[in-house]
Amino acid sequence: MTKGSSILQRVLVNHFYKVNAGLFIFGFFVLFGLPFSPLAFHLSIITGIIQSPVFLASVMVTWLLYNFKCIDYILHQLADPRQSFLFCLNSLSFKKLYLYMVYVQALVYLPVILYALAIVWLALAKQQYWCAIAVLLFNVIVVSLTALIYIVSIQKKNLFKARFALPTFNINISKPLFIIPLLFLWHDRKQMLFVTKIFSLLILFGFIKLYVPDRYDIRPLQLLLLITAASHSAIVFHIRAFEEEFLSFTKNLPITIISRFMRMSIMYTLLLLPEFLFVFKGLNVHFVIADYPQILLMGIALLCMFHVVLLTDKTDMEQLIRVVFAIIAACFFILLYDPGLLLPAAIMLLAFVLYNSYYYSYEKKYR
Amino acid sequence: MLEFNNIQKYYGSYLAIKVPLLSITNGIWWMKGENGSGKTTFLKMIAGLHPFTGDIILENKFSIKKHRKHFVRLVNYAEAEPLYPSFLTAKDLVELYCETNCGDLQQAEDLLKQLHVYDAYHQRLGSYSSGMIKKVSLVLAFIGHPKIILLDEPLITIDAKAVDTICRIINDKYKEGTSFIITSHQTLHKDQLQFSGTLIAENKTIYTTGI
Repeated sequence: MTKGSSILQRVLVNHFYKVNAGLFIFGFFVLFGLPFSPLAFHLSIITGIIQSPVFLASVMVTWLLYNFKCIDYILHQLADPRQSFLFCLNSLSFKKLYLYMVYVQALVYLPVILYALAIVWLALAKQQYWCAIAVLLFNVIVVSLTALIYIVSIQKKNLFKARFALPTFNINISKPLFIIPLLFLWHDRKQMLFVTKIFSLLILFGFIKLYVPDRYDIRPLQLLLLITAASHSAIVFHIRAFEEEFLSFTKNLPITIISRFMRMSIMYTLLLLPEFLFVFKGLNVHFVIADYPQILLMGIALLCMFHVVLLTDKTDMEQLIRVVFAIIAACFFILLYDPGLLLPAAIMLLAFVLYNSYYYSYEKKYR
Repeated sequence: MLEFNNIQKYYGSYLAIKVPLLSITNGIWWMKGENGSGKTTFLKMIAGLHPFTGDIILENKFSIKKHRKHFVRLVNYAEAEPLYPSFLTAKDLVELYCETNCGDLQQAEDLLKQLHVYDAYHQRLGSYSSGMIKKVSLVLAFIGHPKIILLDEPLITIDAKAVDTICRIINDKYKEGTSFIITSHQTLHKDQLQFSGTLIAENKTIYTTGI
């Protein structure tokens, strides 16, 4: 490994897997954590992909979506002032620079490459050559074209960014402190926000439409709320990182700890507003209006709790995901006993106690 | 005015600063020290941005540990290299500081005009140069009714004309009863700022000397 590729791997690739650890752990859980043989499951999926062009096309669309995520991340990193030293790569020959970028893309795209290789291997074994060629060609084109996009970005031409940037707008009204992290999501983490919201609303929609309870019970909806809250853990992580980097000056403002906690709660209420409104579709079937406060409190309390976890020494995504799983597992078992409003109230109280203890004593650890 | 009792600041297991006892009276203090001597850490501790053991008492009344809200209301701070969300405007920050520090919006806007950044008041900070952001951060430090203002390298990145303006504002504020602790590697003329004394950061501690 040359010095250049080693630096690119450390600066661009390793950080990519670190910040997306939640997504990969979740993906791994979905793909390999099922209660039946993973090998048989994946063999049947790959056989389906080989036999059905529609299935293959939808898999390719999924790969493309993942690649958009890779592109978005790498372009953000290349545009970051802290990575401006990478501009020196422009002194390399085009061929060498291109190979470096292919290397970067191949590493961030590795999960797709590995799965694609498994499909190619099985397609060849089943003598479905057209499928093997299609999968190979598709991924070679994706990797080679994406590497070119990175080169354009390194050369600071910014063609793609300028053409495909999503619209942004600035509302010229007074912005309260609790709204600033949400504006950060809107400006800098659009893709993550949309993907999380789509996932979260889809599972809510699926649950409300497909599950018809025999008798009234709030618990299934509460369990679903746990998944909804867990799916927001990556967003909470980014909000906390933003707060630490750009809003540390607010610690010098004369705001009481209760007021700070209230502002955080309002922020997470606004973040979960689409879910809180959407859940009304299940009114009188999955819950009655008297139970609505505990649904609200449960969602807000869990996100506040995840946020507070990041004020302790659990400061990276991997650690957060572990704690989130532990919290969700504990809540799952407690919910079975139907604790009502007690559980969300207890989580909220615990979150406040921890917030009070750790907010001012928190200090970023440089590893 | 500022009393330091048994201050210890660790980064992990590394002792960065130890101040057993220190008293800083009212005045304009020039804080000196080599890079990495702990000047910024010291200022951030007073501003409430860094946790530490021990206590800091302001005006024999307010402890940073026990009366945090009152303490930070009277202590304003401007960072050496301020970082703000790029999508906010100077107006957003000024309004936030005026709201929390009970500051005068008109006065803050006047300061921005004096520093020639008011034209960009409604623009996003992402479009500002580093000097403009520095000027905004300095204006924010003057908002409210602070008893002490901590300025970490206030004169870097800003133009020569703005240096004179900042010095004039500091002198005016001092006459109104506000004290200052200023770190600066630049030597200032006596006609720019009249320092009351010097704070030295060396050997992991802070002490005062005459000017």
